[in-house]
Amino acid sequence: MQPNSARGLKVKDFAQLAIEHLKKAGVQYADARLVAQRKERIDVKDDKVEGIADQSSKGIGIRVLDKGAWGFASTSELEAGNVIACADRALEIARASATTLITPVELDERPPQQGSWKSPRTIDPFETPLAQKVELLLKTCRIIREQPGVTTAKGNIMFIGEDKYFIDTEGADLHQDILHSGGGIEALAEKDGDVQKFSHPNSHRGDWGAAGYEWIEGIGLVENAEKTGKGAVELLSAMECPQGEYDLIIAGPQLALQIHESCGHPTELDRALGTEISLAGGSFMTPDRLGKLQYGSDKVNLYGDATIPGALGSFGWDDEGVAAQRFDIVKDGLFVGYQMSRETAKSLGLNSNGTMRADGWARTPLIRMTNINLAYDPKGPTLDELIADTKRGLFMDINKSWSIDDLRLNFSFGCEYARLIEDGKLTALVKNPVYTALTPKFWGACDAVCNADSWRVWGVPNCGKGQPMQTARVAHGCGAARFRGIQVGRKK
Amino acid sequence: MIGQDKIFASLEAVLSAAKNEATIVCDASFSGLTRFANNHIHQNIHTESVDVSIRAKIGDRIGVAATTGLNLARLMETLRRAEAIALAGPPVPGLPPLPGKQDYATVTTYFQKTADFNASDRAEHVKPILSMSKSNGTVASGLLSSGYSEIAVANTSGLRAYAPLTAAELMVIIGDDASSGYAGGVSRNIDEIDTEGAGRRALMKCIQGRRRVEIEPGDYEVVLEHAAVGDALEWLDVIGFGSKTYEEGQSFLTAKQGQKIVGGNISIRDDGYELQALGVPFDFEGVPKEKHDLLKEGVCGACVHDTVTAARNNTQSTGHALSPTEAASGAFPLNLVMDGGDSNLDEMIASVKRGILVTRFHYINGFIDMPKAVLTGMTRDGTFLIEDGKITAGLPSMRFMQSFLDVFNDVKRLSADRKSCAAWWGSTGAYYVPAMQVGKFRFTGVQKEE
Repeated sequence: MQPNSARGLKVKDFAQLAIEHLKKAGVQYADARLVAQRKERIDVKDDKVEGIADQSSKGIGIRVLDKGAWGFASTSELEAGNVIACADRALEIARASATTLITPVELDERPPQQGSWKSPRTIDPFETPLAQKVELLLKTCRIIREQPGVTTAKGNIMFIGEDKYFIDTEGADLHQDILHSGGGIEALAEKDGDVQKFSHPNSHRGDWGAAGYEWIEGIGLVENAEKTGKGAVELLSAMECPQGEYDLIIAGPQLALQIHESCGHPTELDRALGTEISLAGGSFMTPDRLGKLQYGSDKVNLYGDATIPGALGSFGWDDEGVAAQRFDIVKDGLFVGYQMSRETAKSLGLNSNGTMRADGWARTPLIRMTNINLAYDPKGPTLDELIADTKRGLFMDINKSWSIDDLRLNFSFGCEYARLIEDGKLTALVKNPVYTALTPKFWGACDAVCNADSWRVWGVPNCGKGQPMQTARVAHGCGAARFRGIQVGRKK
Repeated sequence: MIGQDKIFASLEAVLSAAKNEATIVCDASFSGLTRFANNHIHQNIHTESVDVSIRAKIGDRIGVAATTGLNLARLMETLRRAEAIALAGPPVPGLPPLPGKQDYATVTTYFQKTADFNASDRAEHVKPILSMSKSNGTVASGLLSSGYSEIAVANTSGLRAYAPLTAAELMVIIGDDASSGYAGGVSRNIDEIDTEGAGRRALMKCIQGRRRVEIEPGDYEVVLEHAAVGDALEWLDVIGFGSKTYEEGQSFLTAKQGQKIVGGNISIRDDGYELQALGVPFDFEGVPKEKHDLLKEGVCGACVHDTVTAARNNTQSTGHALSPTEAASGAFPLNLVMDGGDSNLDEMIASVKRGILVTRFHYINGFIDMPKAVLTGMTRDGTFLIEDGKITAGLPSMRFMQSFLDVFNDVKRLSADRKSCAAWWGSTGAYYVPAMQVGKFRFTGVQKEE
């Protein structure tokens, strides 16, 4: 089955059916998203295939705003009667919500859009022979395991194709064909109870893009297998992370997650307005601080941009039918903008900037990161120049652990490895590096952002949010940056 | 409810056409979740989904494909995809034959009232919490979910397993600018979810925490309420109790079977027959679940297994297979039960000279140093200073970084009463845990802006 089979089955008619039915019921607003998704996931460990799964899923999610309150219902049973029943249920649920209403929901004004959008791809991963994909991973694992001291070699690739129709009562009629590909490899080495890990090109299922199989060919799994295996083994004899305040240079893969947790999430306006408190919490970046809070140093410029070709957080329209766009979040260190939905933007007298997305047909859209990026400094140093400019510090790379509080202030990150910086040179390898700080203090300590040489977009395929939990694929563009006087190491 | 007969009729139509061995798992769910914030319901959803996954086994090769719905043509196409994947993939040496017909113990998994509970019912149950919060000038956030699912497993060797499951979960956070409090619970039976009582407990914690002091991070004696223990156990499960990290040498249990690694008062097992842990008597291969000791009186038990991990370790499945689409994650215990002691929260607090009461944890991560079971995270929604046996003030949320092997070697008291704490995998499992008092627990930071 191809991910665009929804079109072949003319299932778009079901979305139209639901919307016409709800229009007749006189609802304030409704939208229907019909999604056909296909996922292929291959996991290899050592010389064995741990799992090959090819999953197809199809269904409709219907969202109703009635008398100022929301209801949402979804079903995988695409029969006309079921779809009408699903629409009725969404309306019933909206009416149940309305019984506790305080302030009726209003949506911003936007002209309804029509059109179609397709993410770029060259090679269809679902048509690429399975044996070829499996052999790629087995080969990388063979090379990793050839490195003396490696105890486990792992590789994974995954492809997600999504064919999506969006229709609403205001006249939007949109079709999107989105394909995401990603993968990575990992080596484990163990000695005397110490286990070390080294990943390429990134940890937590590797690196991802909006692309086809060519993405997998481009991330150099085979070419970096030897380095990955050796990296894990070398860490066993590395020095433990020192404890104290160090100047910290953070490389792109780790800085991407730093941006994700300490800028991306706290600037989701639903969080800032308190509607995500029951899971991940609120945000210290509250609306009264918009335009006033000095979030970071003047080197810090953060922005969202869902229009970057090939980036994992790019699309044509969000799941409210708002066009993908670029917007500032932090400008010269000042907090200037949120990620917003139609409802939350209206509450601030603003317009949505197109960040509402849902995890498949069975979930209601939430504000999700798109591509949330740290702008490179055109006059900044290269990474080599930045290291050369650092007297005593640590260079940290590849995330291993992450934790941040419910206001996004106090965080702790661990990386797979670090290197000491002494008198402008990378020296000893460091294992189990961790750093901890408070968000505004941390970004305030950013005194250098690298130039375009080291800037690229890193895909994050597993951003969790909401209840029930939803997983979003987002991305972060960044290069390396330096932060002065950051607490590193575990207190003994 | 689709019903056992209809589901098996669909699955058997596919199995009868299979030319090789095959296992089919059907997970049909009908669930609702009402979410509230700022003292009103802001998200309210209903989902009906029929997820079917097929694992084809051709000799020593395996392929998995999945679809939605019970449409026969679609299921047949999914079987063919699974077979094609199996044929294209490399062999998995040593695979055992599929398990045949099994006998399952009767476990209570279904309550009609929970299944029938709808959005209006949930709204009615939530309203007293919202009113209570409004009248106290606080803000209520949380969720109430309810619904049912049907899990069916069938294979070409005659195995047929079926369980209807219900589950309801409540989470309440009541807060203001100065403080917040949490209460919650999970049960198969909606009647066991005391929404109003939970609202009162959350409100009381919020009010109690308004007089706030700040203390220096460091080592403190702690009393961990049930929810905090459940939060920690969920992460210990992820990093240590499944077969994947065990086999990879990353688990704190690896190669320690039979060794005493924590205090003799610590016993944790997986129990698929425990109602309070939302037990299900079989796994996703249809194998009956073994009551499995992971830590018994401080001594390490054996690793859990599914049929594949069991085969490569020359042992038998313990009934801990995950869904075929999640097979790469290995075998995993979903229904952890921790033994209690003879104490209670009041006694624990009264015995602390100077320490900290933790209601719950937030955003734990256990990947820092897995063999040592080091967890970091924050406290949240009810962190209190205990002085001379009394709660004297609220504390800001605090960061901890702590080996839980050290914690489990230093447990001074366990409560006799245990509570069910929700797990992220929903209706197929939960944690059933006591509260505990720990002699020394390391806090490394505080939630603040400067």
